Amino acid sequence: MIEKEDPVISEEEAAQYDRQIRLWGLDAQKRLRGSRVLLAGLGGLGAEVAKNLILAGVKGLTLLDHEQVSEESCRAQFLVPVTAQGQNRAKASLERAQNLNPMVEVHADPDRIEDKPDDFFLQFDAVCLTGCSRDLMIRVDQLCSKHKIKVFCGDVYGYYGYMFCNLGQAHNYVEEKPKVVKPSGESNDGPEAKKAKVDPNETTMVKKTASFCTLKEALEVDWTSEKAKAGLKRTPVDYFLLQVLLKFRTDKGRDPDPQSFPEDSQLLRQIRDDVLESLSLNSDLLSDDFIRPSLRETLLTATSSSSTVVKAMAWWTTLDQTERVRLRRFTGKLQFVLSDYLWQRLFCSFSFFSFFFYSWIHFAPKSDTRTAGCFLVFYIC
Amino acid sequence: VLFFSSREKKRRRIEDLTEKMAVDSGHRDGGCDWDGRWNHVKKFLERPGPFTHPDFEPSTESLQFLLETCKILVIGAGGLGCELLKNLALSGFRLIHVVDMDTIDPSNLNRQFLFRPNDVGRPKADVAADFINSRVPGCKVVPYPFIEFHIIVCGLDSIIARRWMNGMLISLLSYEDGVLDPSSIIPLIDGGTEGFKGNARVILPGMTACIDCTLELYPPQINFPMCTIASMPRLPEHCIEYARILQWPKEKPFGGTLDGDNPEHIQWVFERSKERAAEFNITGVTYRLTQGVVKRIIPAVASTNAVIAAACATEVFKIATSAYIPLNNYMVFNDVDGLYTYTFEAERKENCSACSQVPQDLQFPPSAKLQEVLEYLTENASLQMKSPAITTTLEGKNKTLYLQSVKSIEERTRPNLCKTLKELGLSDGQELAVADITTPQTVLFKLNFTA
Repeated sequence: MIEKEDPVISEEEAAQYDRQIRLWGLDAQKRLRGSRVLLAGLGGLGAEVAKNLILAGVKGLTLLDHEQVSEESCRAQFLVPVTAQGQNRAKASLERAQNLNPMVEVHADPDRIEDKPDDFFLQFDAVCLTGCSRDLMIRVDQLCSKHKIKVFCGDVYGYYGYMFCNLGQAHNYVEEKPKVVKPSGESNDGPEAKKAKVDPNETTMVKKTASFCTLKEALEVDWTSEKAKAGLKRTPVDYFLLQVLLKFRTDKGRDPDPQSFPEDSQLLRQIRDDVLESLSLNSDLLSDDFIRPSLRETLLTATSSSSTVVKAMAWWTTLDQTERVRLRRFTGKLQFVLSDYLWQRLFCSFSFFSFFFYSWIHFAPKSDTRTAGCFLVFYIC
Repeated sequence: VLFFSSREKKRRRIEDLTEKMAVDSGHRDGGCDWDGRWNHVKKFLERPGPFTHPDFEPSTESLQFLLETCKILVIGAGGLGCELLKNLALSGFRLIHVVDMDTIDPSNLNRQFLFRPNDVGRPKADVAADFINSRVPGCKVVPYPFIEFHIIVCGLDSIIARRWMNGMLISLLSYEDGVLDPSSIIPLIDGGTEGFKGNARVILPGMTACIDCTLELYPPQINFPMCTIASMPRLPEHCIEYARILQWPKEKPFGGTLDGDNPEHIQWVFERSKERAAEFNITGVTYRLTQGVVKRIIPAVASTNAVIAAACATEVFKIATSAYIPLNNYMVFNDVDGLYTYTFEAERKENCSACSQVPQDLQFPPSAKLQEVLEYLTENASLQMKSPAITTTLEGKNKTLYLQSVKSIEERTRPNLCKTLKELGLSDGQELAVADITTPQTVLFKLNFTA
């Protein structure tokens, strides 16, 4: 990791970043301003992430992608000009990406991420992986955790997508909590002031530490344990779908494609059976509906997004504090960080290009408790 | 309503402009579509799927409709607007009109990515339209006012503007024998963001909950209690509000009203605030904070806008094509604390002042003063009017009871505020017509005298 000098915010930057500085403070903006990020994969998702990071004003963003611009890339991704077909995707995205904000150092790297040595990753403060294989992600995640580099992974498969983050075993952050104002006892303010109230504008900063599990741990939950079995009912099937999709990608080197519908749907079913068997789970956990005529477009069944969300939300609010804590431990204490830490914020608001809507597995009610889920999964219907 | 009478003129003007815009790309007939350009959209529209609407019939017509006929109005070319224009243009919509009265400011550049530093000062609608038109072949974005649209999608920055738009669409509804004519419905997709929070909703005027049906969902503006500002400040914001609300009107340093965009005004408020803060040992008064409080600046960042705009654009697509079931009907998003989102069906209010067509009830004793009625109209959570003008018909003649926005009429009608309803000649069952900035159509109230 690079040694950071305390970057100074220029007047031009202060004017441009004014609205977000009001959101997360000048300190946070300075830290952003001194940070270098690696973004792997410049598909539709990668382009959106690149846009948001560049607009936010990081120090440097490296676009890493070995793929060539295909006809499809031009549709899904707004950084690549129509005329760039056949060029390297990262290089083709460079100019427009840089134009979004000249104050950020944007680099394009056409290499394969698998070919990068360990110390390549060590020059970054955060790494964001899209379109990568399971093994690669696990390797990078392990490596980065050791060196206190933040890791974010995510992908979009048609209607469906996921996101994962690992901010380390001991991630320090600061949470802004409302201050409780005790009644002063003075008569000046009138009868109203005698009540102790929470003034939402009065806040105090509380230091906290959160612990994240690794991607390997998140993907290799032991479903035979008692705790896991108990939690299984409440775990959305999306998690297992993700396992199937990652395995497909590993086995075939690509994602399911409607062009190869017959063989791909056959393979998906097979992988589904294999994956669930290896996890000692029933194969009807993930029904055949998940493979439909439009592969790569539609991978989830049945319930509409809103009813699932409502059901899940209702379930969560019925848990009391202890149950929620237990559930968090069960999913490996994968917590999205609160307030001040920029990374989580930027990546968690992945804007999924055009056609995506989202669902999620665990969430906090409207209070200050944290989300327990490590995965943000979503689908559109 | 004024704009309808000049609609023809405007329509001709817009058509002229559209002609001009088509010329430079020279592809009015869709000749700019290279092979496979819309394959990704065709996947949604030319075949069935597990999520498609039960009544959906795959065909090539939907895509043709998107490309050639469907007109979209985007209101606002700011944080959400830029994202929306990008998403819609890349999804196949080609006839897009964008309205925005604002000009570009450097603070917009952290998220309104269709603009560059040398665009500062230019009108947002123009720059946004230019950018998209030159970037997306075949797309025709026309900046400013509207004619007839199939769908309206909003990225507005005020609740009043939303209520206005909402009221406008409701006024366009037509009823035959008391039954709503579905072809008169223009769907309204409304998105809003504030820092890390946002929401997206689908409104079918006359059918689903409208903006006013759920007015109480909007949090009230933060106003510190006067007693805190005047005598017991604890926060730097209290000191700033003291300078703004109490000192400025008293001292009128530059004459006239406080202008948040004038650095000299802000500097003055800043210095007075610092003095006050020093008196009470309060730290934290900065120029930036002063600006924020005076201008009521809302923090903003690209990512929240991206998320909400993506949801809105998806809904425009779904509704335009009838291929998928639309959001039903209100989604909230918040990533301040982890990541939270929730969708629910907002319900219509039976007696909504905007969409229920039910005359609104006003219950007052005859001895109540007009002032009380005025306060009710502004303070009631479901009405939240800003400066209502109240008129009625007395002895066959139209009479203005109180109107605030025109100085001479305000002075003339001010004495009425202290008079009782009985003294003003109003009777039980009397209809009062109330006009306000929050609604394009006058709202009718029925006065019910209580004991």
